[in-house]
Amino acid sequence: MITQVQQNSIRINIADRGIETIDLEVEMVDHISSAVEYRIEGGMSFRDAYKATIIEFGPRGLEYLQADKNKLLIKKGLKLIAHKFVEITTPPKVFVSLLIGVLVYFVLSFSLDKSLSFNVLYYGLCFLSFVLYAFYYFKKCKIKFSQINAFNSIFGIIYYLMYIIFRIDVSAESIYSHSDIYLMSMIMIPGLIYTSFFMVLVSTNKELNQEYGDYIIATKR
Amino acid sequence: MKSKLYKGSIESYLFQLLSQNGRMYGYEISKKIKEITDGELVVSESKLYPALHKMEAEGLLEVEVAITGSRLRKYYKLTGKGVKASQNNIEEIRAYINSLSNLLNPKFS
Repeated sequence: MITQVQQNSIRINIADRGIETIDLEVEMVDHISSAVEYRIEGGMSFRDAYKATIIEFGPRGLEYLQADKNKLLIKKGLKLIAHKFVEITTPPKVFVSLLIGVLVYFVLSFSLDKSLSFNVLYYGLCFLSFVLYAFYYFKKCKIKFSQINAFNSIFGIIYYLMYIIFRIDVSAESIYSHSDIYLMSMIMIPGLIYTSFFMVLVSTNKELNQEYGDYIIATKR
Repeated sequence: MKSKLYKGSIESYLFQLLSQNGRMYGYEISKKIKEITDGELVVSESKLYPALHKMEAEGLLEVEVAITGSRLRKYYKLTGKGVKASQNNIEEIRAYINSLSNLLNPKFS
């Protein structure tokens, strides 16, 4: 068996040779230590056994191994984000919520003044957010806290954007004019993309941390 | 690897070894391949680990970490998906060997 000091020297040396992530460090320290122990049993000194083992990896072998591992990690991370994006943009989460917002706006527009309908819609959505927060507080809501925040902020942003744009375009005679629908889609589509993107980031953050956090810890000592 | 013939078949060795031995660690795998093939086949570390990591990323292998002496050791074992892939792989290899055998020893009627 090699000593703890020798094992630490292996750890430091492989870090110098390009091993950065914890999981690969664990694997390489074990592999090299096992190979060194095997050679020591055959009568070699630690120094010679270590040299012989490292040669087997090739001149920049450890560096290539790390590069290969990094590629796989990036691929896995992108796959995870793509998966989350699909999951989150699947009804009834974001898409349906925004669709309901648009429908409520049109329904309200029948009977109310434009700006009033925006206000009703906005305060309605504020109320919805409040209800979601309340449900979350009493642990009866399956939506994550960060997702409620995302909903809330995106509704706020949409409202203000609509308000600004429609104030400029308030002279439009018909509520259902093409320009209104065009403007609505101009706001809603980026809103949908923004919300989805934000929520993907928020929800994958934890998993990415679990995936990478343990690995990407500087091993330079 | 001694011959070009062995190239690309590292996954098959891994499937075969892991289905026979349950869980194994990297050094153990490379040593075992060398032992079984009487040193004819030497899987270098630069081929073995990328193959293991790739199979792990594809969900064919899962990892268990255990403490051995004063260090951690990563064990690989086949997942459910890996077991199925292993069975398919062995069938493919058998079919390939049969075809190759027929080709090398043709039966003239």
